[in-house]
Amino acid sequence: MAELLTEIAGIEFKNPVWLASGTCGYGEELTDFYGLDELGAIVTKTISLEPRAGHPPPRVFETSSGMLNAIGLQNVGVDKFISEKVPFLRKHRAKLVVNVAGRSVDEYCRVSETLNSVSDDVVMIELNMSCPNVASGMEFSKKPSLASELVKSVKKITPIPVIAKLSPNVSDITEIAVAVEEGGADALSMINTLVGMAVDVNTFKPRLSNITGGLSGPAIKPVALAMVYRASQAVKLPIIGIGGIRNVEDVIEFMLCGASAVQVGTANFIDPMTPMNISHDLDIWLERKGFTSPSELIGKIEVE
Amino acid sequence: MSGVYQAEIVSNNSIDNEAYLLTLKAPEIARASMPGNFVQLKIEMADGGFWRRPFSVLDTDGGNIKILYKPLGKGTLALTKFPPGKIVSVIGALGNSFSFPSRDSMIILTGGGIGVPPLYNLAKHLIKSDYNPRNIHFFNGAAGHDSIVYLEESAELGINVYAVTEDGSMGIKGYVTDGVKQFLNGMSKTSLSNEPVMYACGPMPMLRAVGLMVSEYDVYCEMALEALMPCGFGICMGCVVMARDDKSVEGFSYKRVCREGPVFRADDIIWETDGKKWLNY
Ligand SMILES: Cc1cc2nc3c(=O)[nH]c(=O)nc-3n(C[C@H](O)[C@H](O)[C@H](O)COP(=O)(O)OP(=O)(O)OC[C@H]3O[C@@H](n4cnc5c(N)ncnc54)[C@H](O)[C@@H]3O)c2cc1C
Ligand SMILES: Cc1cc2nc3c(=O)[nH]c(=O)nc-3n(C[C@H](O)[C@H](O)[C@H](O)COP(=O)(O)O)c2cc1C
Ligand code: FES
Repeated sequence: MAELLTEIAGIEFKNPVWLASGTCGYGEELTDFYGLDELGAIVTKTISLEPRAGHPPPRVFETSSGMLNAIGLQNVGVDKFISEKVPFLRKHRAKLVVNVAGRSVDEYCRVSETLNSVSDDVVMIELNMSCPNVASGMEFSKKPSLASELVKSVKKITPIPVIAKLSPNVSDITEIAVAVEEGGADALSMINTLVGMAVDVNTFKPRLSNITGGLSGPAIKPVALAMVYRASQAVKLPIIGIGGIRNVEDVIEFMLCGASAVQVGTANFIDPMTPMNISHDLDIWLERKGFTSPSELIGKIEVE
Repeated sequence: MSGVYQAEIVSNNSIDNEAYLLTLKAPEIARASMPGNFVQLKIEMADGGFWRRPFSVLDTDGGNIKILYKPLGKGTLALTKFPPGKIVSVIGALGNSFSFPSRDSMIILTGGGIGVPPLYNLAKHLIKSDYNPRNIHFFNGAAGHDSIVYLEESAELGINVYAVTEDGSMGIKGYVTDGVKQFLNGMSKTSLSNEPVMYACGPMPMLRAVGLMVSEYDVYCEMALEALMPCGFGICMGCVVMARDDKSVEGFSYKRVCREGPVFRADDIIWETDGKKWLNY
């Protein structure tokens, strides 16, 4: 048997297969299907300082090999998350990564600081940097200086290791990757969804109440791979690959392009057992190919 | 509790009026399912469609579940080609279910189009629980006689069945709510002893009309809603509907049709605010 144990920023994970933010709630519904302790980690739905109602429906639309969503960060807020959701996750021994967002650097910091009270439960914080900064209207992940400042500020306030989750909606991903590395991030995760839209030709109306939304699913995998590959050339930080992952071959591709671990998102909707199947198949794949650990694959793509 | 199951297709036949009846061997789901519950079927389809498709449980028969569906688009059309013996992945039983009314109620079922299956299931369960079939009134609405589904099968339960067609080609002419209104108007004159209780399912515009009607007539009503459902078991927050919520500061919250629903109390659904209509599709 291969050893799936994976280390990121000094933390050990049972395997390199995690659940992506916004595609697994707070874990509760998935316990119908498997034990949360079987996962590498679970990344929660984005948590903000105050609860958010989210966008009105329609919030989702199916596209070719992908989907659009504009959920609007509907979440219970950090206080309720700590009092109502963390005890459940603790009881189920989930390796817990909390995804955090805010409208300002200060708001990100206040959510992260509040999480210090459960630092025994939270192994990492993932910053959702695809949120607009109210002051400038620009997403944190779009401007290197803003991205760097955000990471630096959060790092100052919490001892919990920080993952910077990057948006693909930028002209040069390496610029942002370098900036968050300089800001002191412990790891990168990428990619978040790509901005997209769809229109109903009968009603002339956009398919989403928010007009535009985020594209995810198999359709975005090639984009994600290219971004992971390019970022891995630019920084030394461990990278957690996200985007359209459905099976073990997808995971191997991400690892060869430089990812140390992966997150499964949209595929959970179609088959909640996907992460379990991938871990199982990864073990078999590595064994068959004569590897003892997935870490042997990281960045091993052969380019002439 | 729901699970992912590999179910064998027992049969998959076209029945009346372009509707298909699919029977799946799924004993765990058959055992767990209650009227209002649904399943998520995985259907390989063209055009890169990849979400599962949700279908109400129409009926259970030993270890089998039955689904009544109309081919509308790429998924349901592909499903019509699935032969007996084929194994399909199915998640279920999902969602909540209708509550049972008090025994002496006048039970009104209001179904439009492909909203009939959960109501048929409810009628069958009520009869199995010794409710008087004569107290059950099923209004089955459709565009015309050639699109009305499962009318005879419903009549075979011994309940009162009324066809309502928009073009008047069968039964009462008008929208299904017109048929129900006629009935309610007549009833208030004759039998006031039986409190009416309504159950509804159908397209959202129809349910909206039902919602307005029951508030006008002051009738308790539960309705099974429709929504686009990326997952069906509560992890994506994509299928929500705007619902009253006294606990939230806004006075409402977005509830998941797949988890807190599909069955909601009609008076909990917010159909419009400030003149803006909310339709979840
Ligand atoms: C809880 C629930 C129970 C349902 N029960 C039944 C049932 O018992 N029998 C049945 O025939 N249908 C039922 N439906 C509707 C069924 O899921 C859709 O008809 C189906 O998903 C359409 O898929 P498609 O690929 O054929 O259509 P697509 O090609 O995806 O779309 C074709 C058309 O169908 C509409 N549509 C797509 N998805 C839905 C949806 N989820 N709900 C309503 N309209 C949709 C689209 O707006 C479009 O106009 C149910 C839906 C829900 C949410
Ligand atoms: C319905 C939905 C909700 C999401 N919500 C969040 C979120 O709250 N925070 C976040 O950082 N990413 C969110 N994402 C993005 C995913 O975590 C992931 O980055 C993206 O979907 C790409 O991976 P995938 O193709 O495997 O889904 C969401 C994605 C989907 C589909
Ligand atoms: S369909 Fe995903 S939460 Fe309801």
